Amino acid sequence: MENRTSRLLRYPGDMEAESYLYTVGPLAEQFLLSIKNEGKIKAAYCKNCGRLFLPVRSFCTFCGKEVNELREIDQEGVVESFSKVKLDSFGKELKEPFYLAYIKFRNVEGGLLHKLGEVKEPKIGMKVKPVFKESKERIGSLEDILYFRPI
Amino acid sequence: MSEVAIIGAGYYGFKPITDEVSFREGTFLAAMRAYEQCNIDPRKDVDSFIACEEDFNVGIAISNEFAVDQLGGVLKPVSTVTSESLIGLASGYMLIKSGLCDIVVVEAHSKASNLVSPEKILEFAMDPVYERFLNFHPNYLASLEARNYMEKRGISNDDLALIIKKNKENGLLNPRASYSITVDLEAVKKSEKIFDPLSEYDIAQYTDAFVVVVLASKEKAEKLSNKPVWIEGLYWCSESSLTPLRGFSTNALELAAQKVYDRTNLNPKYIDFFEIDDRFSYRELMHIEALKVSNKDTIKKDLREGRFSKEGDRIVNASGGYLATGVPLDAGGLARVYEAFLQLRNEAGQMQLKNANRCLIASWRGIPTSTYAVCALSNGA
Repeated sequence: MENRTSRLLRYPGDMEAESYLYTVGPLAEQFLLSIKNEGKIKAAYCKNCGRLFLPVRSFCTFCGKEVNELREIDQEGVVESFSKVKLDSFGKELKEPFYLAYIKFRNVEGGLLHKLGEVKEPKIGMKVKPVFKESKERIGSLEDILYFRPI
Repeated sequence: MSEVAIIGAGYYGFKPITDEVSFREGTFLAAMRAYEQCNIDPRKDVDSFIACEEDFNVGIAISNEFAVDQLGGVLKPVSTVTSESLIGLASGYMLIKSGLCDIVVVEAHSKASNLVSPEKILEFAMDPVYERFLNFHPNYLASLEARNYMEKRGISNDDLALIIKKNKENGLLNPRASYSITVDLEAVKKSEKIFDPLSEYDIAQYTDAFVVVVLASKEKAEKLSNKPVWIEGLYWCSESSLTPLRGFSTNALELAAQKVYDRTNLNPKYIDFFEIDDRFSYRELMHIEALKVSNKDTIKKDLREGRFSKEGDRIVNASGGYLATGVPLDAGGLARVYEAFLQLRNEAGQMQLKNANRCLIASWRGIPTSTYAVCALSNGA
């Protein structure tokens, strides 16, 4: 632009609203409580189209109907893909890199993102199962699963 | 219903940093250039304005309220499309198709250099319950997808290097391609796979850019421009918002493209060149498949034979794509419209392709989204 006479300025700014408390929703609450109380991953079941799916929500992405039931699923998962995570969400180097994986379950649409543990060389197609925290340490979160380990 | 043409297009920036202007002046400069091209006065001639803004990227809440002044839109209908700018173009197209407006201006910009932590904004776009708890750089979502795709197709990092080389070197002739370089394949091979299996070469950087296009009905276009570029068809589509639910799918792009092909009676054979999202090298290949420019069985062979190069028979990203120009946030779709606009008007200078009469543009909103738009443009030849 014309008429520039001084050094260009930048004004710092940040987001005032930096904290949120998210409502997880009725079926997700049951899902998280089943992890906490039973040490089990359950999937949403749509009575209308018969699909099981993860992550759970109180409606079906596929047929658009209401969903209000969780069902037990085979806890054995399959690694669909993985990557070694070296940077955190700020782009800073992690002191302890970890394997991130996308894990699917038998007869279930979708899957979960989680860590792999007790593994040196992950492979696509590898069978894994969840390792939970001690029950007294669980809070009702996906963080109650420490990682998935090879079977 | 009137046909819809692009009669003017202007830009400012396409640089990693534009400290000399705020987002207002950058947009103003792009708008003035677009208006000058078709000789219109925004205060008198434009019926409606569309701004494609996303508050978190702008860093201002309700940022669309800031779009009015610099476009010349005060006391005029102005609306915001908080999405990829090709979807904003679609809104402008519909305003004219419906007969409500004759001239509509569509604006999008990126001031990515204002963002101190762009990766944190992307993380904030991920599901708070199911995705954010792992605290990883969002590019690792692309890493997962890349590994899955490469394994399924038998594609190696050496294959991805061919895309990096093609696009970054195509950009050497593009004045908007700040990230174009002559690519040393050995250096690409040796680069650290920081986003394993991807290195920084595989990932487009951000850029600052401001793009404004002027749309007009057939009657107005023929009065105001001797080289209108016609919008032959467009469509957009989103898949599930949850990455773990949808997995590694580009079904939404495939569907959007098929709608455009069906509505225009076109197929990839009738398209002279393609401008498609390549913000990750492997994604160019996934998008090529979704657009049916190649398929899962031939993609590797077609890539290795150079069929997507400027010398090939299915030219992809002659502009250099995002790997060469950088990603201008949600202005990406409109940026590719600008590149196509030049080619179709035979105004692309050293980049000019022979027989550039029809282009297909495919945009994606980037990770972690599954929103795509497709647009077919023609010079009417």
